[in-house]
Amino acid sequence: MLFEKLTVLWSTSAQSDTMKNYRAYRSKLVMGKHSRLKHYGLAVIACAVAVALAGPLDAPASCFSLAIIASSLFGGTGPGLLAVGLSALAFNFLFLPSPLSLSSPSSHYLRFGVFVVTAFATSQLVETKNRIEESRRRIEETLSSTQRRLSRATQIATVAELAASIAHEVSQPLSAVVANGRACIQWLSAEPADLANAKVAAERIIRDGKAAGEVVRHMRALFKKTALERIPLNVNEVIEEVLSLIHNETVRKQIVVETDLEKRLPPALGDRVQLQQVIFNLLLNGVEAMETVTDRPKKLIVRSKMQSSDTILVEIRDYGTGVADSTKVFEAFYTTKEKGMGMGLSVCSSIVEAHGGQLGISPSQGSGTTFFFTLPLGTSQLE
Amino acid sequence: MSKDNAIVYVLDDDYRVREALTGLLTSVGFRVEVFASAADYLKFKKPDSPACLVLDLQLPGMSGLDLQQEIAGGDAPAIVFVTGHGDVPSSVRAMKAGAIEFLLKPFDDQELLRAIDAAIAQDREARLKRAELAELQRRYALLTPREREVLPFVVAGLLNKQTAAELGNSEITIQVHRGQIMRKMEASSLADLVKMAGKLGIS
Repeated sequence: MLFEKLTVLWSTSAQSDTMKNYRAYRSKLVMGKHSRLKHYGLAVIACAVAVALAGPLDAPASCFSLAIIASSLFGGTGPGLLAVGLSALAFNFLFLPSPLSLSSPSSHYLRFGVFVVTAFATSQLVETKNRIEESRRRIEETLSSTQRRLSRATQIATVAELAASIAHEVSQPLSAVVANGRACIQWLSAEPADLANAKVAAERIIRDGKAAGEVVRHMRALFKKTALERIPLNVNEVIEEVLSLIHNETVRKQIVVETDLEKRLPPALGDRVQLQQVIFNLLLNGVEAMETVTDRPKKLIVRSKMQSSDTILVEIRDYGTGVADSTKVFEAFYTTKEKGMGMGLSVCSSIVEAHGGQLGISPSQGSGTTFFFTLPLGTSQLE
Repeated sequence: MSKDNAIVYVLDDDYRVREALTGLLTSVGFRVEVFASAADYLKFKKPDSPACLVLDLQLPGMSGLDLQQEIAGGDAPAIVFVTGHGDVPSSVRAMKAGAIEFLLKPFDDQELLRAIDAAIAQDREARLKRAELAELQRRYALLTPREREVLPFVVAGLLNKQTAAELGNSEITIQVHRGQIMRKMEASSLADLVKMAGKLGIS
């Protein structure tokens, strides 16, 4: 039920994405008309400047080449060719000893021909470079939008796995609210009414109601789709939020969770939801790695500390089955799980890298795996 | 307000639920004892009065189902399970092992109270039966080995003469044993003795 709603939510937001793209495309078209005229103007001005400088410098070919390069680079094919034509005319009438005619010597024809061919080739080369850059930009855009969607899809998949666990987190305080409410009525309807006990019950109702609201707020934050935020974050808080969401999952699987969080951790710049997702994924991996473990206690250790003066280190250690190939696990579509998609760690890795940090595996003593990631402090430069 | 000394044991790892159930059950007149883990519950010295155990399925350490199995058989109170994770296999296992009710969180307060009442009623009845059986076993313990040998023949409806032939005794000796058995077992008639033997599992 919850999952269905999420899917609907996601598809509507995807639709609004498409609308946004369409609008951007339209505005690009409208803007195009104005700027194209401007670019042709630029070509004319560049040629005029080249004419003005070519005489005193006595270097017509170089000056016109520069004008053509500039026009092609900033204006594209049309302005580039215009510059080629204008400079050919100027070269013919101003810089050949006499303008070309049937009686001109063949050396003049040759000089003019070489000039035109060079000019044309220059404009085409620049144009080709433009095109290559354009297509590279497009590929990069597609790639990053695919990555965003993929990260969103894994996010939903991960959270859906734990929807039941979250439901439990809400139903716990709700159970308490119902029981306290009934107790309150009982105390009030006793003869004589027991106001002190009724008040205690009512206060608990408020407290537990707030707790349920808090869980809902966390859940909403997990599902919210926002542009990447870069706000100062208390990493410990983020860790604890995620732990509170998987608390029930760990209890159910009889896993002990230990935390060792550096108390005075300076804030890191980052996106709360994405970091939650990373921690979520790493913890869930740990939980799953210990599913089949029976001969030792199931334990997850979450640690945060300063790695250096400007880097925060978060470690998540499990006592599970361990990983066979620690370099492969970060590759997309590599999985050791029966039902896994092989995207979890590769998405985590790209998120952490986008934050200017690093995700990796450190060797652990004994059985299990230790994943770590680093985050630069809020003050340092981010890419 | 008292429900005939009935005690409700509440075993849940969430303090909010423990507090709330203490409040609710106290307000309707139960004596309530709460525990955060199965180990704490097992350590607690339970008074001799009708009781019911409200048990969370997921507990740190020993789970609710494990505890149910652990205490089954003895004088364990009837169990009402409450859980946030109602999967079918666990509910089937719990009910097969004799749980009174399997409630999903967030539970309905009236439903919970009804289940607790039912559980206590069942526990009260079970206690009566256990007390009766204990009394019969006490009486049975008074019989001599020879009398215990004779008892099955008597309740099977054999005549003294037939029993004597089976055991190689005189009829008069069997007659004496029979009188002793009736007296020690405090049976008012042969029919009564047969019923007692049935409860003791002798036939």
